[in-house]
Amino acid sequence: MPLGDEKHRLIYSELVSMLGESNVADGPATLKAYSRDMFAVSVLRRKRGPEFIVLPGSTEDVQRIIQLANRYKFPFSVISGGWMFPLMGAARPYWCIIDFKRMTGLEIDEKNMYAIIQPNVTHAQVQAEAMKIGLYNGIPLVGAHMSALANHAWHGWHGTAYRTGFSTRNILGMEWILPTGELLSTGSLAAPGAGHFWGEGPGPDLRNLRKGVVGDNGSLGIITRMAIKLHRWPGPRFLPTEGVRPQKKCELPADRFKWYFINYPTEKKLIDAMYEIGKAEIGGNMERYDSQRLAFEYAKSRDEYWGLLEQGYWQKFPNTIALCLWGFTSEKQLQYEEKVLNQIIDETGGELWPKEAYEKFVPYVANTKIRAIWGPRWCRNGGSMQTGWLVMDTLDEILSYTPTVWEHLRKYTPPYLEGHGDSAWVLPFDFCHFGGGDNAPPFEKKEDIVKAVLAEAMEQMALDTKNGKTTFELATAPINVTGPSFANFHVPMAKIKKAFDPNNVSNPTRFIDMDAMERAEKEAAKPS
Amino acid sequence: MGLKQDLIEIVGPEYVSDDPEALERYSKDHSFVQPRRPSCVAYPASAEEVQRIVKYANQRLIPVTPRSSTVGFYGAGIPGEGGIIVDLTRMNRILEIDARNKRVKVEPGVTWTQVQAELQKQGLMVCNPLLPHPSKSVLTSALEREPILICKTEYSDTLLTSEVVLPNGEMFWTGAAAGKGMKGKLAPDALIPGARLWQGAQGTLGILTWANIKVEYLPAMDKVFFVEFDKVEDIAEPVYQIQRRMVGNECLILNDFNLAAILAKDWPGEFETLRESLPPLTLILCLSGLHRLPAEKIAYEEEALMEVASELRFKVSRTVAGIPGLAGTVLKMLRKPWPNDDYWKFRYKGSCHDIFFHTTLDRVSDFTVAMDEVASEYGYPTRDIGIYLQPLERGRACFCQFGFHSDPTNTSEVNLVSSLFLAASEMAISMGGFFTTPYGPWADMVYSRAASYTRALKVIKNAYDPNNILNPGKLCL
Amino acid sequence: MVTEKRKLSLPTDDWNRKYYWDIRKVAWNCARCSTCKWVDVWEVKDARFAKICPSSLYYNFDAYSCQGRMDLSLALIDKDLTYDDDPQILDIMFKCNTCGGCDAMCKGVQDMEPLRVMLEMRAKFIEDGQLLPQFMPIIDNLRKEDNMMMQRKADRGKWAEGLDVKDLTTQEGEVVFHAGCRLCFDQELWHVARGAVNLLKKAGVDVGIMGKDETCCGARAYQMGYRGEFTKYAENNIEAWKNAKVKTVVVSCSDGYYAMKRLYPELGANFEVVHIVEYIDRLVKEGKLKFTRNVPMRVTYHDPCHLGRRLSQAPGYYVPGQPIMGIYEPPRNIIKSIPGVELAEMYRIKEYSWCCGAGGGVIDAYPDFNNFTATERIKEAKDTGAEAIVTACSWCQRSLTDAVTSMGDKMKVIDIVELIEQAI
Repeated sequence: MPLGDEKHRLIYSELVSMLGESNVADGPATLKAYSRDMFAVSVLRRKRGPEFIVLPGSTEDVQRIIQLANRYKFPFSVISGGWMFPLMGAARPYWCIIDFKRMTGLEIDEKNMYAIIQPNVTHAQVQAEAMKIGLYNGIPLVGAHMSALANHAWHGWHGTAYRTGFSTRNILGMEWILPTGELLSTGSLAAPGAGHFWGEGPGPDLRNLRKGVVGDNGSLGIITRMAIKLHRWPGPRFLPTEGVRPQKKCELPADRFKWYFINYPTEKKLIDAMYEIGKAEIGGNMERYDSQRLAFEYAKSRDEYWGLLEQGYWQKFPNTIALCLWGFTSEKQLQYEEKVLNQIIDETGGELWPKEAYEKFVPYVANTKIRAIWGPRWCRNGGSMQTGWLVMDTLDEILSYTPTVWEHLRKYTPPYLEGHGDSAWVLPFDFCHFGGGDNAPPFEKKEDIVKAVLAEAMEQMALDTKNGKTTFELATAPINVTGPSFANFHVPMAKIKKAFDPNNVSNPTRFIDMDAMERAEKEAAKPS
Repeated sequence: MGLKQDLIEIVGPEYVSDDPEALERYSKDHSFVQPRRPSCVAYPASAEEVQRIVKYANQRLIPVTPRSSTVGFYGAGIPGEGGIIVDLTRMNRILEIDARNKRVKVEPGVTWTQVQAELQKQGLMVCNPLLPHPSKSVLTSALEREPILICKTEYSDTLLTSEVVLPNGEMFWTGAAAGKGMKGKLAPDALIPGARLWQGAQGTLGILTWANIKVEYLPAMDKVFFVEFDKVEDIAEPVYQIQRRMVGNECLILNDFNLAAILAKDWPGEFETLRESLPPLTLILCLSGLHRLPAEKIAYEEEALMEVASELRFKVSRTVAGIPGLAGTVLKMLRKPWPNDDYWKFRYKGSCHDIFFHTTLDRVSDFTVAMDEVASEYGYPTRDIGIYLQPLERGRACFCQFGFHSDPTNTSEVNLVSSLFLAASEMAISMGGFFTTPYGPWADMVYSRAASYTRALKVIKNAYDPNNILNPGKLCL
Repeated sequence: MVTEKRKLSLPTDDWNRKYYWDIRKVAWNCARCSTCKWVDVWEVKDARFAKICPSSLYYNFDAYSCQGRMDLSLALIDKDLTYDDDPQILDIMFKCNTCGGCDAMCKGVQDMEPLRVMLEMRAKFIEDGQLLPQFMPIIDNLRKEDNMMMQRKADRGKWAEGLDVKDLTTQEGEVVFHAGCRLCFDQELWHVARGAVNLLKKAGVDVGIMGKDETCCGARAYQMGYRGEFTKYAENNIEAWKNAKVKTVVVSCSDGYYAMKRLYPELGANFEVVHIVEYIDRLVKEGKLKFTRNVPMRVTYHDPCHLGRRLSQAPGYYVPGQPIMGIYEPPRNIIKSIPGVELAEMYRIKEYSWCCGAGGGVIDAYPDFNNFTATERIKEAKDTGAEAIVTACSWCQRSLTDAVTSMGDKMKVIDIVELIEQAI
């Protein structure tokens, strides 16, 4: 419940005079909608909520809110779609969540292939406009209904990352509001008159200051406008669909797109084949499907999912490469790539899926890689899921770490639910220069189970630290916890955080726990 | 003990110099940046020696300027406040070539000549910029974000992970290299910050002691085409359309001056003849096929190219100016550095001062016109401007380079070109040209217009280098 | 790859194995994935028309989305919040068209019935005496005058004056045309009711009406949470039709259609319920109705929620994994078979159609919100280049007509009956 005290009332009245009453909320019923999502931490902390929700309409509004936060020392975080709530939910009194629902600007520069977006623009919206003009943006697998800006700022594994790369390199010029309220423009936006078209510089590239495999959760400030790369789309203006949700079908024009689902007897052979495909530079998007993901994405109900498990249906295809050939240049590119792919399949011992499975899966699910929709299905079977161990490095690294991770996860299965086999999803980047892999074990959203899952996550983090692995789990932990194991990278970052956010109001405790840092410094400075 | 002796303790007596001639060499490069002599030059052989030097410098508050190449163009390696030059050319090992993961791990002293020769044995290459100087460090090219000739999005962002000696002498690793247990150590984005923070930093935030850089497979087959243009404004649409169809590997545009300077064997006679006969602007486009069915790949790309040409009514040829075997000649040059020290940029007058920046293809002609105007104001012949346009990432942007030439022994010429350089740079910036790596005098021009970015960089500098040891005075630091 | 046999780790809660209705489990299970706020991403064709939830778009705060209402519902069920904690609770729950867009989208990725949660909570609010002030005069009038239009019962039959049609209060008949409150009392729309009757008669249907003795179907009272009133009127209608020996009920209003088709059977109704578009579609297919006149017009079609996805969303009708079916094709078949008419579809249609704004009591309680929603739909309609938006629900027609007027626009808003009449 909000504190409702004098400080609260003062802050509230200032926010109202700044934004208007309809754009500020502090009522308990409104705040309740900002207290949880499906992830384990927020389930346990769901009774802790913010005190204010504000709806800025512009970059200037955001600046003013932040300046107010500095004046009255209240913490804030930001929300667009609202997944990954554990990393931006309220954690301290007087917490203000900045909700970007009103910031919906979208412009596209067709010739120079980029889109300029505000935070409440979804990937689907960008795609809808881009596809009309033969362009495209990579879609995260959590769903194209998520904020494109937030996804690029925070994580962002495009389904087409094989070609379009990791999200960080898809970011162009940005407007970044520092935690003091100062506006920092990056990339070409820092040069008056240059526009948004380029992401690096001037000089050192600050994109990497706030983004690794995951971002800084807004602890170093808020991005209010971002330009993102668009890529060539050789397909139709609108995705051709038939049927009624959830039994929708989509088949892309056969002269420009063709899906291949190729199963391999072992994970090693699958990885070898991926490398070979990357070497040949064919395909528009490629990934490794594990049986779990096949089942998650295919099943339209829990009953169906568990039924498939009992039948062992998708377990027949534990090591599947899903590859869609795109005829970017012309129909002849598709023909050429088919020939090349068939050579590779022969050489690497792959086996095409049987027609029955192909027709069951491909028309109904495969194109989620291109216009994602099924991400939330992952949490259908228990209500929640863990993000697993998500490591980014070479495909061989992903392969080699999988057994270690599964050995660990099996200790926690139950309470993790059945995952249809021990395997990992793999997404290559930049024609297989490197890639990312993970699994997403589901679990039931019950308090005792959630606690066990959190214990597993902590153990996983300790394991990753001990093994010297830079994983997603580690990346989401405060860096003052992980830093000592990774070249003390938290030390200069703490100085930067201190300088950018002297009052520690910008999502404090996430990314770096400055209070803990200061305590540690004081302790270290004490005479022995 | 004195500075020299202290450095000898670290790297050994043969690898420290305070010889006036050596110091003089390090005091300047081909740029207009004010020369400044260092106090001493050290030639470390390992990261551990680099660390010790940097730690020592911190204790004594002596500036350190890293240099990886024996040649410098933009002033980044000139020690603005004196101090120690850390010359990394001894660290010239190619540590690993990994064809499977398409990467090469190099020390900073590895040159383009070295790396391309070695990689070629395995059918690989690092995507190179236009004819880099043979002694140029590959790692430095990646750090400086030099644009590559192949404008495939998948190939760009060549710097993967790295090892860095931080300004306090501590070691750091970027990307997946930060994880000691990571086998590949290749993903550039793992923990924060990644290697991009050190790109464009001109050695002010750390000294890289190795880097993993993307390599690609050398094509099995190539076919080079040329398109002639009379005017710059005619270039944008064809390039947009060709790149939108995702045709081709190398794609670049050179004007008659630059192309002649590159092709001429006999100097100056052949240069002048070529300059007269070459078209004002030439687009060079290389269609390539990799190891599987390369001819078929080239065939469909060629068909697409001809479709675009027919639609936009431009002519595609296998040569220009009737030069026999031009396609083969150009192809041999595209994936290699310049073969000798008679660097093509310096052939005309001995020195070349490039103004380069990023913009979008549709604005290139505005900048070209403006460059001509400024040149004319200063009495510099516009036909002596070398123009190089490099489309990037399938045409989403364009790197523009305008070369102004002077005889370094002719003071009045140098002064004229120097003034012209400043004026033209100022003009390009005011028109919205984006100088992603603000060398020398560009730093003030760029950062005076980017106050917040400047402040942010100073915060970062202070966090990493509170004693302001590394290459002080560069950028806005 | 599973290399060893082990006992499978299956859910401990049966609910996670196979879905069944449990209000708290549904509210608890909400993952905040935000699928409920947006159109099916495979169908987003234009950035301007990408949202599915009107209240989320209008009010912005997540509390006004389905997800937010799941959070609120859970808090109330678990008594983390009480009604007295926040005067906004009623508004949050009732500023919703109950259009079911959120529910349809959610079901694409989850086994959930979030709309049912919201409707049950409304009923609970009423039961607990938490009455929305704006509804009170409407319900009072319903109780007194048997209609939702704040009109006198005595005037209910006026729309049919002069119409040569059987009176089922005095005669028996197998087919009754139930006009519904909106068509009975909204004089500007009387021609739609009259047109529907005339069409049925022209096709040789022995149709009758209840005239002034017709009463409300109770559908809108149900949407508002007044279950008692709904039951009363439903039972009354069932009795009246039984007495008249009715076998088939034909309606022109989609709200009424939904109630009679999906809710009445639980109360013992055993009639065939047909919407006029179904009936006409059937007649056209059987050759009993022919479109002979050319109607050169570019039109677009608005899917009423209660003729569309809501049919799959009624209690007891949800089968996880099954398509969110509705009466999507019959009206389209009709339109496409009228010579000269060109059908230009809007971006959001069928199960992902945008609401007209009238449902859930919003047209009465929150006219600004209603107007916003309807205006958004008209903007979408105009984007097709259509000169008319055709619909099959009187409430949709009223809501969209008022929006056109408020916009100062000239777009025609017509019922499909009116279009058909032009073709015969």
